[in-house]
Amino acid sequence: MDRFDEIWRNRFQQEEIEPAPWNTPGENVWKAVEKGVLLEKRRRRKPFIFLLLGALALGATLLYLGLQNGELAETTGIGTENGVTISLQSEEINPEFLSVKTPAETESAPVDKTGETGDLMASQTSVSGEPFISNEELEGSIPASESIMTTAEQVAFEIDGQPSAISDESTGSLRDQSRLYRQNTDLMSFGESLIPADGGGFLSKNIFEGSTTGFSAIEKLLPRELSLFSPGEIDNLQENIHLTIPDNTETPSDDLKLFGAGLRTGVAVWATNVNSTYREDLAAFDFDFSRRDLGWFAGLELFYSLNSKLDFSAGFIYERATGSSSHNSSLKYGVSSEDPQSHSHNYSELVATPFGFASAEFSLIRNSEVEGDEIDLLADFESEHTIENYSFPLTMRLFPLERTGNFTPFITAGVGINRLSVVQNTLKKVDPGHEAFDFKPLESNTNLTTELQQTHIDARLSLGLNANFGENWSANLSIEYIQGMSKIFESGPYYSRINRGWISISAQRQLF
Amino acid sequence: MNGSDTDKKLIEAVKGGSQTAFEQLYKRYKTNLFVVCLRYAKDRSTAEDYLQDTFVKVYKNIEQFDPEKGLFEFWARRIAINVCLEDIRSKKLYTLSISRAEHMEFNESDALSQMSTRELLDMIKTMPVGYRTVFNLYVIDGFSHKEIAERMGIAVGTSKSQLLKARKYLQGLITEQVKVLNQNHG
Repeated sequence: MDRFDEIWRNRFQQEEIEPAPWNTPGENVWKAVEKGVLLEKRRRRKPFIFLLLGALALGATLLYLGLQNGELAETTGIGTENGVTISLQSEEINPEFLSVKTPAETESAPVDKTGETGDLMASQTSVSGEPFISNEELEGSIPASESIMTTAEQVAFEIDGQPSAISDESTGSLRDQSRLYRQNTDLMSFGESLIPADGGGFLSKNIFEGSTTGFSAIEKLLPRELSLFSPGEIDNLQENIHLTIPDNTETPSDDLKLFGAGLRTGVAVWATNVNSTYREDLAAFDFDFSRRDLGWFAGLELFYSLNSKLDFSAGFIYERATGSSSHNSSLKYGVSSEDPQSHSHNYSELVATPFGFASAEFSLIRNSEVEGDEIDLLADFESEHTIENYSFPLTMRLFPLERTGNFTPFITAGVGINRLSVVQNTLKKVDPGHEAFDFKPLESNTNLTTELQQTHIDARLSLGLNANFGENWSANLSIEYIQGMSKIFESGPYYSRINRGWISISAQRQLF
Repeated sequence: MNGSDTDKKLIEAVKGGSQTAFEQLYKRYKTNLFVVCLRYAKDRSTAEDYLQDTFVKVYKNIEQFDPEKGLFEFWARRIAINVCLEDIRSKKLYTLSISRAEHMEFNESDALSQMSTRELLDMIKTMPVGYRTVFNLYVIDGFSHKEIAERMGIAVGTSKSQLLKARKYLQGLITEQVKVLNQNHG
């Protein structure tokens, strides 16, 4: 390299270039860079957004499926509290051949003819409870001459295995068809009680003996026991089946409401958990922060009753909390370089917070003469941060006791998907530790949003008390602990988590 | 804490998502990188565009930077040069021009060393873009002719000839300035 090249290289590569107007880019450049960075951050956040949307879609799907089942349950008018349920669906049925009687009705009217007609989708027969299912009872209640005549094309059984309960309506439940095959074992035993293994017994004689076609194709699609009611087999039965029902029959509520909505509000304690590395590194600066920040929250909750003891709940909650932090930092004040008019210096400093560093601009004004040209100051910084968070809790609420009384305890567990919308740090005070200088804030508000892991997940557990008011209204008082599962601030080895405690009240109304 | 350690901490913080740390990095290096951009750009506005793209690329690729393997400034400077070259290549700005001062001799290195950085930069900016780019890459940024040829999509011989012409061009400018100064003092 000759001297010519060396001079050029040294001038532009190795020598420090002092900032000057000609080599200082305009303010608009940083703004444009910030925009580009924000776009990049959004691009990186897309997976989290998809995760959030996926969770919402899953929740919506669950709600939709729940709604579908709920509609069926409402149609049939029977709750899941019922025991054994047999539902027959058919395009056409002669109601004379299918009826279910309460014990009293059975006594007074051994043969029931309800007179109801129509297809079996609207006229399903529900039979609940194991105790009354016995050969003896069946033999005693179904005369040999009786037969069932139907063109049933679909027979569905639902057995819950609980103590018997039966609807006095001629409808049955399809509310939880998923339990159909889970309870197949019970159904088998039920079927076997009707059809003894030896081929003897009443039904085998009175139903199957009348068959001329044997098992039809539809029987192959149905559980074996359902062949009892296959079209070809039951055509020959002439009379009704009378089933006795135990006295402890539980009639389900006709006005069971599945969906509800409510408003929830309360006070919150935000527990900021900063890892020790972060604290230790800043210990020399007397870094301190509020471990417990007080706040409040309010929002909307939707719930869906899966059964009398279990609710699924989703909500949207807005939260706000305020905390503080402090530290000290060294500053230099040059008297000769101060602004001659205002006798002040402007500073742009980094202020430590549990959520990262916030930039703060302030001015120190000299109010009296000082000795020397350059004064070393050890200034105390105090700042306040305001946190705003949107929370989307997804929880299950369990009532260990039936919701029969006015006050019922409950426990909830679930997760929360959160979105930190704002963490704003405000420089409240700078104490320069020198009587000759006064603090004056300039641009002291810093929005730390872009420093945070804005989307974060938590796990939550609560205990509470539910009180019913009137037919559809209820109120809840609960204490909830929320454990942050993901970090909300992370920078290299430094990170913060947030745990929260909620004390809340809510009012809920059952809608439909 | 020296500058390198500060850089490491700032970079770690940027990797963790700290916007404030990134702003600090910007403040630390905006001048040096802007000068790089000014050397390659035809005007200040274009240089600001280059600088903006440089920092956005720095942010996007910060995860790939390993402080143990080199200084941040060198890494960022490479990014700035790439940004400039991409623009120059995409706009076919490097169409090589003829020199207007090939015949001039340079023997005024003392005069050159007395010039300010800004004056040197102003001279660079008067060069045709082909000269300017090759001169910047080879003399100041330390690329070989082979690398320049690959990056600019030209022959190695063209790179060498452009550098020769660039040198003579600049020497001519400096000689002229020295003459003017001598006349003024004389």
